[in-house]
Amino acid sequence: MKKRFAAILCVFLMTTVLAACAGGKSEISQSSASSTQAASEKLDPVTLKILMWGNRPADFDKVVAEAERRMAGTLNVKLDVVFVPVSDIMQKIQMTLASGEEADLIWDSPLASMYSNIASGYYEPLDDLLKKYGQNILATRPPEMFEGNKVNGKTYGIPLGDSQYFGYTYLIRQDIRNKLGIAPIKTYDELVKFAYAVKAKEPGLAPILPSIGFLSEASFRSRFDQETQIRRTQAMADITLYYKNNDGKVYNLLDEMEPKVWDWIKNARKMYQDGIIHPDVLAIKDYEGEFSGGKAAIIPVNDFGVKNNIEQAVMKNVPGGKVEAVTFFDKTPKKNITNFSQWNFMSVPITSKHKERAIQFLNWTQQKENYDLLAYGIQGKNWEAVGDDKYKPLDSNYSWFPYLWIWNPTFERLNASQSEEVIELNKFTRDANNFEKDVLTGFQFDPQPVLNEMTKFKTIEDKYYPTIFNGVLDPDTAWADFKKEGGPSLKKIQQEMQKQIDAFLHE
Amino acid sequence: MFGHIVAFKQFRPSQGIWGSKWAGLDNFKFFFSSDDWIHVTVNTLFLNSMFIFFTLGIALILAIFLNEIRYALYKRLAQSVIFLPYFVSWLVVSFMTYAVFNTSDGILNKLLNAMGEGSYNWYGNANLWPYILTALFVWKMSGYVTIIFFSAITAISSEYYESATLDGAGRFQQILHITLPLLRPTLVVLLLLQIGRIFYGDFGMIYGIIGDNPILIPKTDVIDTYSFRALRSLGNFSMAGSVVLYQAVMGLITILFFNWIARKIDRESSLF
Amino acid sequence: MAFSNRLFSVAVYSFIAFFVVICAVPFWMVVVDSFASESSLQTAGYQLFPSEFSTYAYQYLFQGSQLWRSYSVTLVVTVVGTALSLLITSTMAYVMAHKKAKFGGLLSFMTYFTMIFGSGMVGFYILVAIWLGLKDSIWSMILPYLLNPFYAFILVAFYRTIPYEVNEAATIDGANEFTTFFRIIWPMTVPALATITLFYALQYWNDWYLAIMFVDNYHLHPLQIMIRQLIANMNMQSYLQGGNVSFDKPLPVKGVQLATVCVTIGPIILLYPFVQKYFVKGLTIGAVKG
Repeated sequence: MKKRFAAILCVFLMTTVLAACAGGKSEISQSSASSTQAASEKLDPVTLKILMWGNRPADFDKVVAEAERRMAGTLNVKLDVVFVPVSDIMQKIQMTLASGEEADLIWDSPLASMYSNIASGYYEPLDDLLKKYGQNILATRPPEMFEGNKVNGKTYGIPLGDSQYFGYTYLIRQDIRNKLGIAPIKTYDELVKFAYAVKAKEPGLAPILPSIGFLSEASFRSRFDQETQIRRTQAMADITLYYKNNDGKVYNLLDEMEPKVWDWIKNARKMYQDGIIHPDVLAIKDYEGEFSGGKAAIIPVNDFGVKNNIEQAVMKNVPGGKVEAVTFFDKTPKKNITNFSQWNFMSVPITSKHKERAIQFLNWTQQKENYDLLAYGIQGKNWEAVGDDKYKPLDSNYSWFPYLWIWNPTFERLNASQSEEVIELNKFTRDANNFEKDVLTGFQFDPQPVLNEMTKFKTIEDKYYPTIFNGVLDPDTAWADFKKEGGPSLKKIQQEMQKQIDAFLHE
Repeated sequence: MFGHIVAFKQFRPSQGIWGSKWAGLDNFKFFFSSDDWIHVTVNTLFLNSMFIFFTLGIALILAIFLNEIRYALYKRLAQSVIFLPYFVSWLVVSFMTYAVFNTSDGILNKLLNAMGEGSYNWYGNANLWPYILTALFVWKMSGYVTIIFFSAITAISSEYYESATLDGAGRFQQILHITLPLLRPTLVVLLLLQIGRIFYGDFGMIYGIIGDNPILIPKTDVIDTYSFRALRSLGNFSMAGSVVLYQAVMGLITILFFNWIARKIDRESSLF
Repeated sequence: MAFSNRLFSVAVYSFIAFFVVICAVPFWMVVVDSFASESSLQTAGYQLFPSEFSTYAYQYLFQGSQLWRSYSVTLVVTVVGTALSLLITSTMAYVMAHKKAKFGGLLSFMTYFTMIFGSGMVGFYILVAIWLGLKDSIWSMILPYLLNPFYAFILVAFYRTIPYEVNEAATIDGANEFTTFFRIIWPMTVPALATITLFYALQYWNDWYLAIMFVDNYHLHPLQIMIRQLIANMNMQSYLQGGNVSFDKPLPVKGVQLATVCVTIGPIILLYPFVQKYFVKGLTIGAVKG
């Protein structure tokens, strides 16, 4: 029973693992390429075992052979990459670590069990190794990426990412908007107007289909709250606990309702009652699929731009169907706050016998031509370069997965087929200097002291949050119930968190 | 077995089971500190009782009836067909369920509309779902159980039926007085085997179909889905272990009790 | 009498027919819609006759060279595993059911006990992977499932229906325990053994869990793990398509789920007729008794 339990744990978490898409950088840091293995001394041949999730791409063996050929004579590294289904990766990692089995590099994520694995002392602190062997690894990422992802002041995993901020977008049906004669949407009010127009003139099409959790209608709006910057905390996946502005305080919705959030909730309730929000919002599991099937006019998604698969599906499924992305993201530098957290890491288990070699290998991957090989496959066969910072895939035999082991904002190429606007947004979020630094950058919440409250609150939260934030229940009564049941637990979590934050800021 | 000690430990995998600190009953607190454990236990028992009763009942009827069928081809075909749903994954079942019950273009609502009735929000009424789940479970699993009963029936000597026919017993009476009594040991064994697991909810099914739908949770949340939702982002071995231990101990008590009853009635059909 | 018999027959046939229909219709939809295009699944959902035909889901499922390798691994595991399981389960169940066997009750209890109380995941992993050294061995996919308590108890129930006189008669005729078991008891429980064989074969055929845990070498990956990997990662991939990945067309997320059902059903279509054959002629008990 336990095995099944742990196995499924991951499935859910994984859906939010990766958020941002690529942003390319035109200037390639030449310095990093030159710091190749200090000398051309020959190292003993060694095979590194690397554990990650995903499918083994059809051409993976060819790419690995090429990589090994390039490393032959210098690094002399052979690669044994084990791919595990994403639904089982968390369990696989824990088994490997707990049994002390040999592995040299492991993908992990705070959304999987990275923090508890660190707390258990499974991962090697990498700071010294990086200084010694990882010049390229350090040079290809802004220092904030390391700073924002330390645990107790140490780096336990190499942050993989190419963005400092996660984009959020409403996908809407452009063809319907044009048909109804509505101008391109610039504000949330216009979005709502469009939704009401859909309701009035397009029967059979649900105006808005939100999802549950953070993607519930009322909580998704916090992403576009530029004035107060209401943000999620490290403790909760939604905004029951939240940060505001940049004052280093945790706020608690159940303790004191934020008037702005209450307006969002009220608005969601009105839209649900008016039939604007899909009546089965809580029952639909694949909400993107519903949109792709032409059954909803607006959905919220975790990304900038229109996803390729959705765009094509709508085009195919609905005659004349077209999708456009509407985001209210403010592209003014320093307007948005970020704590530079990343969701994918490469860690070195303490039991590895080849720690230096593992870091040397990763360092080797952080050179443009090697990065290109491992990220996109064989040039001319799997992909072709479009300029220095874009590429075009030629076949699907080498699926894109740099985020699992090598991803960095310097060498990552953008898909040339993306729109100008999306490329702009992605370039913007890639640059650390465009964002206001969160005073809590580098803070990690340790749930251990309030574990019982956390578990208790999560079951209560699941009962109320998506219902209230999607307007399914009358918020006046439901909120009182939510407060009564969950209030005490959340208060304790909030207090513990504030305590840890104060200690962090004090240092 | 020793794995269950994690329930009493503040388990750190690196320190091993024995090396980890003792936690006393701390790991049980999250589960027992509110009244939720009573609700989810009641739900688990209620749903599983329905599942067991109807699956065994329908499978028994199916097996007996299949045995009455004289056309060999029909019999074989029917046998195969009722086994097929066993292979349909719960994920697919959940999509089918949605296709039937959804508000806007669900099959049921289309039928209602055709009869001049308004649409009904099926996913909004939690009380219906224990029965819908039961129906789905019976649909998927009874073919599997039918095979066991059917093989038990074929093991019954034809002499019994021959002499009964000579005595002028009708087919229905033969079932009542020969088949059913001879199937009893198999039935009791299957029943006892299921009862031992009555505290374990069918996670794959219930999470697959209900998911995180808060409206349906009050009536369909079982122990496994509850602790899943409580712990999914924390990955705590010990707390998960405490719930499993609770299920195992309760299951053991239940099975010992029912096995004892079975022994009282008929020594031969008890498990041990 | 005749009338009530006929009434009964009508009830029997119509009940079975009803059940067959409610099983067949959804299953038909699974099979047929696994050949439907992804777009017809997205717009029209499950249909009795899909509007657009496509084998893309199967192409996606069976891409790459791994397929045949995986197929043969699965076949070996299934055949060897089922044969060994059958031997061990039937002998074990025989002892548990045997009136004269010592500690039969205790043995049964221990068997049952482990069914409720597992050993915990980490302990199990260390036992198989490290103590037994079965990591990356085909045996790691066979040995842990050799005895399924559930099937053992079903067999026990069958053995108990055999009158003890059969054993006594055999002993008098000079048969030793092995001869008694394999020559006399075994043939008498053919329907039950056929059932257990079927169930074990299914268990081995459908298993991915052991392979995930113990087999890192993808050359030894069975079919189910290949499928699981594709499906589990599919949502992730289709999610990623928005970013930097570009495939020629959207992944057949819905279609593949249906195709998987059809692929996993493979063995049963081959095995089930054999099993059914043994269901028909299970009349041996009477023959021996007479």
